[in-house]
Parts: sequence; C-alpha cells; structure tokens
Amino acid sequence: MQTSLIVAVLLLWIIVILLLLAVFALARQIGVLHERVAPVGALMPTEGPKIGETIEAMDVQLLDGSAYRIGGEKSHKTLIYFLSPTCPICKSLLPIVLSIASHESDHLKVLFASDGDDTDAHITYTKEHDLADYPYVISQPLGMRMGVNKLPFAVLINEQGILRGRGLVNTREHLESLLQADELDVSSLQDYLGITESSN
Amino acid sequence: MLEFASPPLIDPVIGLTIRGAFALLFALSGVEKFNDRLTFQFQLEQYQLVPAKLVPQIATGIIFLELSTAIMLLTQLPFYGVVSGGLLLAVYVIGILINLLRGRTWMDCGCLGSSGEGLSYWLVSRNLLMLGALLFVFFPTDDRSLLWLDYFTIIIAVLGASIAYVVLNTLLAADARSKMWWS
Repeated sequence: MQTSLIVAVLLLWIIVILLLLAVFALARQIGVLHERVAPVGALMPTEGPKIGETIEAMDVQLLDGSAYRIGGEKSHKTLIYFLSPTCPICKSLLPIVLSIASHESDHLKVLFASDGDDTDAHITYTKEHDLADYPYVISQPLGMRMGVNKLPFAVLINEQGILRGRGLVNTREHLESLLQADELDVSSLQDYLGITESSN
Repeated sequence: MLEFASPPLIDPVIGLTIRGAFALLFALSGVEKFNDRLTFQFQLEQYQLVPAKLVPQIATGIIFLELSTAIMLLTQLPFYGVVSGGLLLAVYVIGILINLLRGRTWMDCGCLGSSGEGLSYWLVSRNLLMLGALLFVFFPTDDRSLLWLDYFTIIIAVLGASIAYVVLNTLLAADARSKMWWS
C-alpha cells in the first residue's frame, strides 16, 4: 500500500511539472501570436504633430555635450528613434535601426532619443550597444513635442524639416513602413492600403 | 475567562516549500539586479518615488536586502527572512500602485525576469498573493520528522512554483504587448 502511494505521488509530480511546462510553451505561443497579429505598419498615435507639419528647429544638447539641431533645413533626412535603456523591445530593434543607419547613410541620419536623469545609465547603454558614434539626446521636451506615448517610437523628418512619418515601432517592418510611407508620399502604410482599396 | 485558540499547525513540507521558493526568488532577483546595477538604478529612478540623488544608495540597499532575505529564509532565521521579504514585497506593491495611479503603466517593473510586461493590477495581485503565501511561514509547524519523499516534494514544488512564476510573467508580457497595439 505504502509503495503504491509513493509511486502515485512521484507520478503525479512528474505530470504536474510536464503540464506546467506545456502551459509555459502555450503562454510563449500566445506572445508570438500577439506579435504576428500586430498592425503591418508603425502605429501612429492621434495626439501630437501631424504628418506634413513643419517641425520648427529645436536645439538640444547631445550626451557628449555637443549641440544638435532637430528640424529645420538639412542636407539629409533624420530618423529619431526614441528608446529607454530599460525597454527590452527597444533593445531588440537596435540592430535593425543601426542597419538602416548604415545602409541609408547617404541621405538619412539617425538620432537616438531618450529621457531620465541618470546620465550614467545612458552612457553605459551607448557603450554596450555600439551607439557611441551616433548622436544621442536625453530630452523629455523632445518626446512630448513629437507626441511619444509608448516606446519604441520613431519619427522621420525630411530635408525640409517636414514631419514625414511617426509611430510606435515593434518590428523591422514597422520601421521600414515609415521610410516607405515617405517614399510613397502617404502619411502611413494604413493610409496607402486605404487609398488602394478605395480605388479598386 | 477568555481562551484563545492556538494557531493551526502547518506541515513542515509546506513551510519549507514556501521558504525554499522565496529564497530562490529573492536570490535570483538580487543577483540579477547586482549584475545589472545601472539598469536597476534606472528602473528605480523611473518609479519617481525617491530623490534622484539617493537612487544608487537605495538600489544597493534593496539588492543587499534581497540577498540577505534569501540567506535568512534558508538558515535558522526564517522569522527575520519573512519580515524583510514581506516588507520588500509590500514596498513593491505600494510603488507599483502609486505609478499605476499616475498612469505610468509603460515602465518596466524591475521584477525578476521582467520582459516588458509593464505595470498592471495583475502584477499587484501577483505580489499580494505572494505576500500572503510568505506570511504562511509565520504559522507554527508540526515537528514530524521528514522522509526522503518530503524532500523530493519540496524540491519539485519549488521547481513547479518557479515555472508558474515564469508562465505568469510571459502571459503578462503578452497582455501588455496586445494592449500596446489594440488600445
């Protein structure tokens, strides 16, 4: 009798652990599904500046102490990538942002933006993720001006200082959608899909 | 004459399982925070509850408290372990609640193994549930001698609780991501 109970308890524990592992696998799959069903393009919040609006020149101080002008006339487009050192999705998108920065370097410059008082955390973050060669600004007013409500967030400003795209970005496709929307001259890919659907 | 009923005795396996699970939780949490102190300081600063100048000292204090809680729970000082662990959990709940009321739901909670789940009332419920479980250790335990099967049960139950903790984190992260897109 005692042996039967011991065997039963051992077997039940093994089944409990296996079931917990199965629940863990299912929970992960739910996360993957949420990623798959995300919108195709960057999600543009309703608040904040509108696409086509001219961004007035704004002078900010970079992490290295030098001055930087956002907006106004420039010889290149500017992609501002808003991040936080504590945001895991921001970190996972960094290689894609850096790849865009190097492939489009002839006409596009990337600016990294964040907020918070702990400058040391940002300096360590730039060193850890090879961002030291890129302009990096800590500015809460910049985020408020661009209507950043969730991270990671990206903003595209063209050579004339006109806002060409902005939105919440979670994947490579979202980031590229901002550049494509600019090339197609629409405010967002959702807009583009709406135009093509209504013309069919 | 009033007579107070003596508190119920709990089986030592339950007490030891709770102590083991919380010792593992606080030890891993303390080590994770210690290995990435700058990120933890940043997370603490984001809570906006303490003056920015004191953040490094308070962060070090929390790491020290978490590690010492883990040690106390495993040694002959479980009472002090439960008190410091309970205080830590209560402070975390209050910190999360204040920031939820401020609407700062997007920030990283700084909890063990957090992966972008943000702040939510689910997190508060989880911590309150954990606080309740930890307080169970205050109950006096039966002094029966333990068999090998009891030790096996304790180890597997701690493993099961750890998997359940990770599952909850994963579901909360998926929920936060879904809300980010569709709300």
